[in-house]
Amino acid sequence: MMRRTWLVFTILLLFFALSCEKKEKFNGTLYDKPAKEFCLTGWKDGKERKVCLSDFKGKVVLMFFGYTHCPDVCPTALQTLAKTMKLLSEDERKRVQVLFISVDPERDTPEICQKYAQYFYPAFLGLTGSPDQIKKVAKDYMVFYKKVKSESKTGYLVDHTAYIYLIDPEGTLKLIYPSTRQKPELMAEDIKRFL
Amino acid sequence: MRLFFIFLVFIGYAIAGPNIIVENPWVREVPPVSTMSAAFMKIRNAGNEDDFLVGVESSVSQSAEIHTTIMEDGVMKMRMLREVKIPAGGVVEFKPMGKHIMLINLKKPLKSGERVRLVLIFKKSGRIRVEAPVKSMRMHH
Repeated sequence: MMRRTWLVFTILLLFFALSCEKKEKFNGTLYDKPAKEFCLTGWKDGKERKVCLSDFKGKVVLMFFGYTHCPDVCPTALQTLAKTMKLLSEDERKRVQVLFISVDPERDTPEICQKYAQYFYPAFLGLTGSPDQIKKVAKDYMVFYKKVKSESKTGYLVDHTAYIYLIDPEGTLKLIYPSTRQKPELMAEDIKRFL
Repeated sequence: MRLFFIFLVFIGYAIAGPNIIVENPWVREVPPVSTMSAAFMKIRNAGNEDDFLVGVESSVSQSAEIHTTIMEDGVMKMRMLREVKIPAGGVVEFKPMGKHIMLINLKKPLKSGERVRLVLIFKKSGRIRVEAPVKSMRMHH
């Protein structure tokens, strides 16, 4: 009797292990919930314009929250995203949109955000909004940011979470990556699975 | 004999103390709209006494400060440092996502290939001049 129980248990365990195996494995952390819609302000051809997440339905959206006074973490993250783009074929790239969203709306105008983002890759979009709009987007995406006063001549610094978000063509927030020490090859691998 | 001892003491003084060597300095090219950049390098102390980096001057920005990036519970924080100890016989690396020299309020955009003159100020070794090339992190097309 005992033996049979063990057999059943082993079979169940094996079945469980196999079913797990079948599940897709991603390099990012699986989140898999609908991405919340937002509309912010972008800048194109010398003019401000409204840009909404839903504008990119059918594309993979990669999002990063940062600020342009940040000399280290943000350039590194945007660099990683630019490298990721270059690992995709031209056709794939057309179906991927990178959004850089400022958590420093008081200093980062739409023009500054856009020019900052496109330096890393021409098709990147830089977005900002009113402090209230940014607060809402940040909350929806679990982004923490806080102005920190210091004696530094920078005026103030902004502490912020530095994650990269991947939204699939159906508008599901699929994966979250830490932006530090993130390998472009692994992100490109994930992106290709959604295209 | 006495002269010899005086000589020895003199030599002792000459070799005692910190001996700062700055290796591979570079400055990050940033988007032209950005008014901030950062300088990176390795600071080696080949001497037998600790020294401290206490300040920086730069030719391209209104001010320069010693900063560090810390990651705490997924939050990136930058903090200003008053001084950085360069231990005797040790090396301290200023690198992306770590300690860096923050160049604040750039006088003009930095272009890769240009050279930035920096003066590193040490507690004991005094002012050390460094020329750092501007490097682009972008991949070339």
